[in-house]
Amino acid sequence: MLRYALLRILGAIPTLLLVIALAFLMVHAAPGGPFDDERVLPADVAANIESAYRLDDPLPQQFLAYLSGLVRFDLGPSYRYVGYTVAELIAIALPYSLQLGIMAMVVALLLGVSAGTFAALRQDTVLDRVVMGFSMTGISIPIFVIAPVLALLFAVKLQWLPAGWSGAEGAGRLVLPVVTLALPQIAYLARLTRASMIEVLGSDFIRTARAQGLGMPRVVRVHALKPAMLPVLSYLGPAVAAILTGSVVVEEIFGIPGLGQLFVRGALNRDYTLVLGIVVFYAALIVALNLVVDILYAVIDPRVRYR
Amino acid sequence: MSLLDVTWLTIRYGDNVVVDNVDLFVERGESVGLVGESGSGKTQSVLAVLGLLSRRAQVSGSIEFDGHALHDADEAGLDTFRGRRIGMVFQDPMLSLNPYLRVGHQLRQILLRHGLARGADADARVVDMLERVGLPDPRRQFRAYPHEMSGGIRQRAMLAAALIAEPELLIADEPTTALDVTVQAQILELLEEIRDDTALLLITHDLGVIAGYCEHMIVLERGRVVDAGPTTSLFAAPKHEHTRRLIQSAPRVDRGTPPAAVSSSTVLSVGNAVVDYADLRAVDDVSFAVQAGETVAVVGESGSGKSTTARCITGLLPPTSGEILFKGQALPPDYRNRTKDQLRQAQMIYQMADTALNPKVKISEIIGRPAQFYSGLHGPDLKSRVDELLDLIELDPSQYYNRYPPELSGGRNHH
Amino acid sequence: MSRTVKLSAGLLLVVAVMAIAGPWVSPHDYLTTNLDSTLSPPSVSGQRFFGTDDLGRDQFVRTMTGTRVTLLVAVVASLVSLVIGVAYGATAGFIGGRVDAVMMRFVDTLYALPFIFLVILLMVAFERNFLLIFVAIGAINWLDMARIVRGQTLSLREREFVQAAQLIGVGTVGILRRHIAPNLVGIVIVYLTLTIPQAILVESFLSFLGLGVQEPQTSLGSLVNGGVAQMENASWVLLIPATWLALVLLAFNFLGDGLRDYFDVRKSP
Repeated sequence: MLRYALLRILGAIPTLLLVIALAFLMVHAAPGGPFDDERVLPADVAANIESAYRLDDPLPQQFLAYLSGLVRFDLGPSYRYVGYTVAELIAIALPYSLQLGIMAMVVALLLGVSAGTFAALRQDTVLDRVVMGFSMTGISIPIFVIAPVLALLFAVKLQWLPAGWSGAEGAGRLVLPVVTLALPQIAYLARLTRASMIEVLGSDFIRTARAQGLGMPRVVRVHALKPAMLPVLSYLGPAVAAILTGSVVVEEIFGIPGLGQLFVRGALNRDYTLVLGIVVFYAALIVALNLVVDILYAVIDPRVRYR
Repeated sequence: MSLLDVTWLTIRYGDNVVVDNVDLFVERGESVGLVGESGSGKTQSVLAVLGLLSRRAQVSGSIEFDGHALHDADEAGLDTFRGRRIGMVFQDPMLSLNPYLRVGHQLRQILLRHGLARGADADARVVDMLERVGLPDPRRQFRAYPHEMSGGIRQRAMLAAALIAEPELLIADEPTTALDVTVQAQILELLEEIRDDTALLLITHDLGVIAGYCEHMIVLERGRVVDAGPTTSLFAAPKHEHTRRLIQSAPRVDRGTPPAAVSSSTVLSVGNAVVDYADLRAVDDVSFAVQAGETVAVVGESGSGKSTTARCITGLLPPTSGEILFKGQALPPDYRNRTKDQLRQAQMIYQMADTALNPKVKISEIIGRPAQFYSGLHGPDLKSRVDELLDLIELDPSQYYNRYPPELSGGRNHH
Repeated sequence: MSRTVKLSAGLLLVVAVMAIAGPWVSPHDYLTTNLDSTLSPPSVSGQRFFGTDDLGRDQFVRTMTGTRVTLLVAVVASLVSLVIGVAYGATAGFIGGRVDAVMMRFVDTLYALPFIFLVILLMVAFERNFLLIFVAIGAINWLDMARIVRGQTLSLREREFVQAAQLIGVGTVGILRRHIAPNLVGIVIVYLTLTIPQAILVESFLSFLGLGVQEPQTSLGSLVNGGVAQMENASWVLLIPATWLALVLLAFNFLGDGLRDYFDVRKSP
């Protein structure tokens, strides 16, 4: 088991390096530097800036310098927010995104898995179809449609919940953003769980459990739930990636000063180090998460441990 | 009053009647064998007793256990019988045990659910039961996962689960079919030894098993009971044509001399065949001969090299060394180097028909292509040859000509 | 085929027809601004079927032209990823062995990346080149297709009926043609109905952020973006393109689902 974990960790490192390299390349392959559109700088000032940001070194050297910085959690200075390093900016924005993201994930898991199990146990009944209809809608409609529509409905027209972040206080202002962010995941998880549960419930070993007179609640709880959760577990990685992506939209619309908003600002401002830094951060997050998922998978499915 | 009393049991799926007015009786303590070919409705009947059929099944008839009407009971009612008063053992323990849970944990559930024991006491009883079914290290196996056990041990564990609540009736659906030949006997012996006065309803397609272990037998053909009675009398004087055929076709060691070879000419000769994979010798100096008209059985446990040898003979897998002779002539080891005629002479029938046939190709084509390929038949000639062959394997040509493999049952696909 | 499938296909057909023919029907065009009648609600009299936006441009025509762009980008990008994915996947699956392992490891690695962010990075770095959108979307989508095709090819290659066919004497080309190819077609078609909506989503997302299609061109995504700004005063500017987009995506997803069920039932017992 330990061997399995170690191997997985080792395997994750090249992935991470690849992402960083790709992102780095993209940023530096961009035509025109970060400063050339707004002002026309006198040549010597431009040269100073270039050397300050070490832009005159050959590319591979810049990359290595960047990597060595990464190990020390130094992501370089921001191009636009003068005086701030990228790491600092991320640290400021992170708590908002973290809170939003974690709550959304938890809500999605609880509601999605319950809905899916509920539907699976009532397969082909009206309730099942209703749940699946809702979930299909939730999956198909993009988050940048859901967010403004929900904001329009609940904040503007009905005035039940606050729309903005800054103008409101307390837990109320979390409701809309968290629900909006969670909605597509609830929909997907419901479908996934339902399909997985139905398949597991069709297994021979479930038939054995029923033949042993265990009763459906116990059969589901003891025998079916564990294997049914495997696809959900595998989906956690992509789920987090989706939440990260979604947070870009949700933070924009509800005015939350999180990483997503920071990223978009950075992108539109051509703040290259910031954008690169956030991409690297997200990549590291996802790689780490996939690692945890892999290990959890081996905990649930004992047959996997010996690979 | 019989322990299990099934009368007029009919099971249909839409228009398809799989079980047709079947009557089944099992008295307390006795062993009854339920025998029939694949597709005869044996498993369906038995699943109906425990209410485990799929929701699409339409069931009618009467099922009574110890006077209680099971056919009417709801899930909660059935649960009081399942596992507690009626135990069931299924065919393939690798599929029938939960691979994600430890074996002991699965057995413990039964005790917990039926209120028979709790906590440490339950654990102790499980270990005890595992020992009774002959597991060599019950405490360790308690904590083991199914895939960590061999086939025979797994099936013993299943047996333990079925008997742990001391049921009055044990239903065993082909409990040994998925096991190695050598292990089969052990399991059957165990079954006999351990069941005490629990009644046994044993489903099998193997008459040898019935002869050895069942006092009574019931014969099913195409969903109907065609014969029933004490085993010894039925064997001596079978009443129904189908029963007679079954008994006659059962290979028996004690029945006279095996059919003699037609002539002494050797059709196939395998000489010193050796097959090596990387560092594993799968076939080690195997030699045998098959005479014209003779049937030679190659027997062995799984992993003994039988399939590998077969693939050598047909040329799918050239042997590392050794030779294959057909009618005295050496066959090129690789099938690609053989002539059409040579290929035609040696054909393989696979174990699992489901995977051996392309589900997208019609039956007429599957049968027709070889005829086309080897004998150059075309058009109407081809069609009549295919019809001939379909007839030979007892499939009505007008019905099956245009069907696809997934629509047929396993046995038919084999043909 | 189920009713939902037919309904979805029908809906998509209607959308496509309206997208093509719509702008001809209306007397307005998508460019002309009219500062006298900004933010006017939908009306039949002035033939402003969907109303006007904050610059007085006709929303109906803009929605229709936007749909054209959205669909075009999505279909082309999907075809690109289809070609790449099938070629990659079939090669990996058929060659097998070490080559296959390496190729799929590469796919697995790419799978782990937060692709959308890289795409945004790309769009920013390369100044919103229209062609680049296709590349970006194609780059995200081919992974799924490659995996599926490779899996299918692999399992088909190992199936005993291929061996049996070999035994009967059928050559490699024959095997590819009669046994492997037919079993691939179904799955490719089904996945197309899934990659097209994915592509629509990516393009719309980019446009929503302001990184996709640029003014004066418009797509459904940028229309929604524009609508958000007008949310409080003129909700239809948001709701109409939003609903339109949602309908298109829903239709594609139901269609894909239905087709998948249909092909599955035929393939296995």
